[in-house]
Amino acid sequence: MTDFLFIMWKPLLACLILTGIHAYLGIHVVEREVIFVDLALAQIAALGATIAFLFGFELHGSETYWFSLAATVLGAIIFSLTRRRQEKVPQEAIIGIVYAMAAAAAVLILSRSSEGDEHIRQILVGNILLVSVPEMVKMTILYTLVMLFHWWFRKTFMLISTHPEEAFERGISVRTWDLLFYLTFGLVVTSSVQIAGVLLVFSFLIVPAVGAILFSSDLRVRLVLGWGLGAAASFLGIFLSYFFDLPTGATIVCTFGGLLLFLALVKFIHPKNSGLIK
Amino acid sequence: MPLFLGALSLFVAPDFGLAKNEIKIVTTTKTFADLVKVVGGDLVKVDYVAPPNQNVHFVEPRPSDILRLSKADLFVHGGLDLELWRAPLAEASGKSQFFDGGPRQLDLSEGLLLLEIPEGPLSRAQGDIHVFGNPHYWTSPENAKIIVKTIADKLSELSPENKKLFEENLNRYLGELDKKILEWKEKLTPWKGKPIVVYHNSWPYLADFAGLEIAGFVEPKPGIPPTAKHIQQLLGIMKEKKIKVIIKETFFENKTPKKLSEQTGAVVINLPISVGETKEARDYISMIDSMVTQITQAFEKEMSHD
Repeated sequence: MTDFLFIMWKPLLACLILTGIHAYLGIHVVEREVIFVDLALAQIAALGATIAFLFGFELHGSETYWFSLAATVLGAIIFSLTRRRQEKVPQEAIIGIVYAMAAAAAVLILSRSSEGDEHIRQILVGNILLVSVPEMVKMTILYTLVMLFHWWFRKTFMLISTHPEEAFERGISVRTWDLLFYLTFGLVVTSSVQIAGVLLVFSFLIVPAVGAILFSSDLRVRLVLGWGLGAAASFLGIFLSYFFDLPTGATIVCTFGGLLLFLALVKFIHPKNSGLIK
Repeated sequence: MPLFLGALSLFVAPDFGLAKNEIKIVTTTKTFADLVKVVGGDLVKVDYVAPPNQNVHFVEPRPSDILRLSKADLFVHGGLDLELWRAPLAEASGKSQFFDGGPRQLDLSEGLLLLEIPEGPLSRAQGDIHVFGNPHYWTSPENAKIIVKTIADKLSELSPENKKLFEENLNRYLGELDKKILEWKEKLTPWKGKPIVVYHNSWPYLADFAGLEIAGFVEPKPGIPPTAKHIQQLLGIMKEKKIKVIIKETFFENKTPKKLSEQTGAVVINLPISVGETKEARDYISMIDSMVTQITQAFEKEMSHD
């Protein structure tokens, strides 16, 4: 047991921190139907790092960080500009295009540069098992600031995600708020992907939100359920990874899948459960 | 349930039935583990992290690796930028003694004459990959001789009372290696100066030892997948220089080498770059044995075709 805690407290704590913010952002992402936006933003950030790399900056240096950040801002601008009141092109299509272009552009740049895709893989394949304390401190500070910002403007953020039409009618500048949303979202996702990798971040974002939809239509209840589901998957996944000595990130992702399947079965057997929690 | 018990026993096992004065060592690769074992003998217990059939640059350590390292007396690694996961793993173990330069870590690249150290001011645009020199140095048996000496020195430092035993083991192994080196060199002599093509830039030390000339790479740059134009150029070089052997690790794709082979009649050989990567590579000596045998067979096959 002491061995377990000694090795796993850091990844476990990191998972709980990730759950805190991603279960919340996931609700927005699912409501907006922009499921893969985190993958696209992470890929854009990686493209920024690749460009910095081409200019000869160190991969983990501060210059490279600013390059990824600038790229993320650009991505946020693209996504906020492409949401229209009357949607002719679904935003998922734009997200898919941006993802493919960013990934391909990174390949093109790297073919002219040096260390190949090895280093880009490093950016997109974080390893939650080896997370360090300074990384966790940085991520806690950043996520707390973003959470406070979202809490302060919670009504507007929720309105533009759930009822954009109403926001337009009320004369709210949906485009500005969209930009703020994607900026903060991009900031969070870019740093969590470096720590946990794209697969795990995607799971933390989407699975709690989807699991909660099964049981409630109230957003606040969904948030609490999402946190519960995320925390359960974190504990169980970390535990399984330790006792069966499996790669930690992939174990947690599959645990999420298992829990979601279980919840869907519960829902299928007791359909009226949805009415219980309202 | 049996699976669960199995996993439990796995996690209890390290504490069972070990002599108290045994030195617990964790190495990054199985190749290094083998070389540590030949010097340390029964006085050391060696575990390794990287599965032999994977690219050592990218490995995802598992919880048991951190646990073993946190309880180890010594962390043996390849230094340079061989293991991109080395620093985070050392940090996760919670022991600063294992960090690069620390007292309880051993960098096996120490004291070696490294190849391909970039000259002049560094620029990424040169298309050069390893900032400190090529890190695949164990593929030359001459380097293995220096590596085992480095290991013996460190073990003697950790356990001075057993210094004599380590030195005996070392000298016995050096004798064995010297004998084998003569044998390998003799087998390779007929093919001296022959040009070859390799997949990834992992083989300069072996080529140096074997007297082969690396005339081209399947990858246009390390880590970049082959492009059409590059393959075209490579085919030109292969035909012009009559290159008949392509060397690759088992874990790289077979498609491009096969295509090259179809167009030029060259033989593709999968060489183990780590102990345990193939059935034949049981330990360091049998790994080099297998490399030399496969290379000589490939050249003999080519001769019989011509």
